[in-house]
Formats: sequence, structure tokens, C-alpha cells
Amino acid sequence: MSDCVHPCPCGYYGDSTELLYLRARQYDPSMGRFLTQDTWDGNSTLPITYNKWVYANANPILYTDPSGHCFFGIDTAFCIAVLVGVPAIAGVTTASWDYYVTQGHGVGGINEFNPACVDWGQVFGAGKSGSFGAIEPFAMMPASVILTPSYLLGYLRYGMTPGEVNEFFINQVGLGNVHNQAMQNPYYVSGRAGGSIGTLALSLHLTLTGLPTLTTGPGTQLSGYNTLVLSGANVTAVGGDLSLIYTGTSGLASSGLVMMSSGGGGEGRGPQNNLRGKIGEAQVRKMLENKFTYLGNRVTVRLPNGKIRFVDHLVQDPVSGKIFAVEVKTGLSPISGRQQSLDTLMASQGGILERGVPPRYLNLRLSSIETIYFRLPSVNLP
Amino acid sequence: MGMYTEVKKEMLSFLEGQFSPKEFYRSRQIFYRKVPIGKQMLHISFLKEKDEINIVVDVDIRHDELENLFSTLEKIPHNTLSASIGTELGKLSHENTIMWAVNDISNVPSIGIEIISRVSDVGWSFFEEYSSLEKIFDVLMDDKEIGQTLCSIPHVRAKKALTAAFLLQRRDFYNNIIESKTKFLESISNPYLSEFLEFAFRLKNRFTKA
Repeated sequence: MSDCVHPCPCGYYGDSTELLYLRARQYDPSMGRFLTQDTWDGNSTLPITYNKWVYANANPILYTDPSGHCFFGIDTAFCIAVLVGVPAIAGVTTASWDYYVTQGHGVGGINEFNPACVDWGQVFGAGKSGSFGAIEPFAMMPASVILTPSYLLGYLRYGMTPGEVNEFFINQVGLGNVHNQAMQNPYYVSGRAGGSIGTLALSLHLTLTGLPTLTTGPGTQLSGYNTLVLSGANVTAVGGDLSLIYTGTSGLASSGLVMMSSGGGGEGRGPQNNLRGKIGEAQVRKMLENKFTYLGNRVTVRLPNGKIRFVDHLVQDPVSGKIFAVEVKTGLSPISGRQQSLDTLMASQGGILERGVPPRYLNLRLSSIETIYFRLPSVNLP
Repeated sequence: MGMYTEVKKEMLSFLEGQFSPKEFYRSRQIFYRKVPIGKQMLHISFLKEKDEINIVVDVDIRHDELENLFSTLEKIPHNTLSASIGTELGKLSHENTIMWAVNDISNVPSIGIEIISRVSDVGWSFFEEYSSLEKIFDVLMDDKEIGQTLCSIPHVRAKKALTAAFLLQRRDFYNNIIESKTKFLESISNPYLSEFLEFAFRLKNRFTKA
């Protein structure tokens, strides 16, 4: 196809053992496991990469690992995340990785060392097939490329830090005016028209700024270790089965193990609702412990203005150490204006932890505590 | 009285009976014992579930001098029950969080005995192991497993490491600590890096004056 030489030979079936040889490691497709440990130490910003036995971040549908070290990777520790939708009919996995573009199906192309080698025509073709993630690491993205109804989503520019991922791609390229509208259209996020599965896979933190609504189709999943930040005013995440959505200072969110209510009555105030809240909080704690370092529940925070704020849970991002307050909402009970203003105050000025945490977190002054809302469906009372 | 309140009251009272011969006093949900460097503490959390109450136990050590100086530098009111290092019991033995489920008030004594037994297995040795500022300093300096387990908030660990170095009169080591902690906080994109650097500056001023 071209004279370009890719630095990373792909996996191939080798000897009679029928094991797929992936350069550094042997992979047994029948077991879905590597038979030898990964020799790469992992990326500190992606905890799952420390698990030396997992192929492609435990998600071979979405990622590939041509070198045997990284998922969707190239032959360095420069691992790539891909934002890709899987249409109902695709049936394509990235296991058939080629350093050019897979032929008109689920994956875009990348060549870290020579972007000119990427056959953009085929990349676009892949998108037109309904499932698309095209990646380039060095800001070589053609400025003229915009999302059209043919594409699920354009490109993900990925860097080594969360900041690199977000600002350029999402705000300037990926979600300009046209793209922003595209993201609001369930057609794009849920796959091709008629497709029922849309997967939004993010490996690092993704920030969508000023996005009023993210509407996801049925069965949409936000998977991987991630935090999706919707930071615009009155952000609302609607529908879907989202593993974690963080809405900044206002808005609604749902968590992965529960479906967000899309209708019906909300919960009222009063003792019953408090009881529902407490039960919900215990459920949420278990989910939180899987993703975060848990610091305490029913935590009393003294705010800079001297007032007290009770937060349902206090957690810490295990990677960056950032502290979040987690508030649990049941049914459709609203986030009040008072809560929103306290959220803002706590995010900008933090507070002192006074009760509800083990002693090692007691009496700490934190300069910023952002709030995450979890929305649970109505809980049956005992 | 609801089951949650009843179980909480009964369990704390049961544990108080068990811990008091070992000179542990109770303050709300914390049991503490005074030791030469400060306090050894056990914290009991109660989580309301649909049909049961889950109990989680943490062990913590307070180094008085370290905590007092830290509070002064942070300009926060002193709290005599704040701790320097600690963790949840399960994490001490490299497991996941241990939760004891109580679904009936009559289960309180048997589960209480299990808790005491677990504390005896790993809690007492933890208290013994970290009974000096030097040992606590080692934990605070570590940014890998032990440091993350016993003082999990990275920028707080960094600040307390500096404070401990000050108390140990390790001026020679001070700049190295700032450098290594800064590098670490940068590497994880910790949002509180500037806060740590301001703290280091305040403490450095103390070094200069001392």
C-alpha cells in the first residue's frame, strides 16, 4: 500500500501451538489470557496497565495490543485510547490490527512515527462503516475534517496526560460547533441508525466543556477507568447505562450499576426519603470503593464561610489524589440551589474535615473538593 | 429506636467493654489509648444497608508533635484525635476492605468478638511497628505501597513528611524531600501541588528561624 515501514510488527499465528505471538508475549485466544507476564511496567495514570496478565485493558473488543505491551498500542509505552462506537452489525474487533487502517471497519489508523503513512481515505471509510476511532498523537489532524452523519465520531487526539487528551481534541477539534451538535444526537453516540449499541470508551479523563446535553442511546456504556466531566451550565446526562458521569457544579448523573430514571415521579423530602438516601449511600459506597480510595461517609466539612456541609461520601481519585465529595440522589429528587452554591464554594475554596472520617483524615484542610452526584432509582424500603 | 441506632449503640458498648481493660477510652466512634508518642486509635464505621448494617474498622496512630505542628502550619484548629497514619483493617493484611454485616441485634456479641480477634491479629502489631517518629517518617516518605496505604492522600503525605523531617531535625534532607515529593505529585497530576509548595515554604521559614 505504501513504502511506509511500521515500527511495530503485528501479532501473527506462529507455530503449531496455535498461540498468537504478540512480540513480547504469547496470547492464548481460547483462554483470552497471556501466557507470560507483560514486561512493561505499566502507566501510572492507568492503573489497569499494572495488571500484567490482561490483554488490551481487558477489553479486546475495543483495544488491541500489537506489541504485547500496550493496548491499542504501538511499540512504545505510548499507549492509545480509542473512542469508538460499535454498530450492531460491525462484528469487528481490533484484533485484526494493521498499522494502516483496517478495511472499512471499526478502527482508524495510526502511525506514531510517520503520520504521513496513515491512509486517511481508509480512515474515513472506516468511519462511514459506522464505527470509528481514528487517532493521531502529534496534532497532525487535518483541520478540514468534520463530523458528518457518516461518522460516529471523528478523532481522539491522545497524549500522555489527561489535559492533553481533552483540551485540544474535544474543545477545539472534536467538538466544535458541528461536533458539539453531533454529540447531542443519539445517532452518533449510539452507533449507526438502527444500531443499538454504542460504546464510549475512554481511558483517561475526558472533559466536555459547555456541552448542554449528552444524550446516549440505549445500552450505551462508558467503560474503562475513566471520569467523564461535563462542566457546562445545567449539564444533564440522560438515559443510557453510564458507569460514571461527573457533572461538575450542577446537573444530574447516573452510575453504572443502575439505570437512571427517565420518567416517573421523583422522591419527596421527609423521613422516608432520608431512609432511602441512607440505604442508597451504602450501595454507592461499594461501587465507590472499586474506583476510588474511600475516605469516609456522612462527612462533616467546615466551609471557609464557617458553615457546615454534610457530604454523603468523601473519596479520592487513586491516580491523581484529587478529592471528591459524592452526593447520592434517589429517584428524581432535585439538586437544590443551595446545594449547588455549596458545591461551588467547596470546589473553589475547599474546607476542613471535621467528622465522619477515620482519624487519619480528620482535621485536614483541603483547598478544593469537587462534588460528584450519583443518581439512584427509587429504593424499596424495608 | 431503629435497628441501625440500636446496633450501633450495642456494638460500641460491647467493644468498649472489651477495649477498656487495655486502657482504651471512647470518644463517639473512636477508641483511643495514650502512648508516649501520642495515641493509638480504632475507628468504627457503621453503614446502613437494606437489611443489615455493615461495620468497618480502621486503625490509626497519632504522633502528637507531628499533628500539632502540622495543624499550626496549616492554620487549622488543633484536634486531639487527628491521626498521622492508619488504614482499614483489611488493608493491613493486604486484602480488600473487611466489612462485618449485622442483620440482627443478637449478632452483636459474636461479631464484636470477631472484630476484637481481627484487631488482635493485625491491629496490635501495627501499633507496635509504628511506635516511633522515624518509622512514621519512613511511611510518609514512601510513595508506593506502604505510603499509599497508611497515608493515602499524596499531598498530605508530602506535607507530613516535611513536618516529620523538621521534627527529626533532618534539615539536610529537606530540599531532597521537596524535590522528590514535587516530582511525584507532578507525575500523577496532583491538583494540590501548589498547596504543598506553599506549605514547604512556610515550613522552610521555620527552619530558617529555628
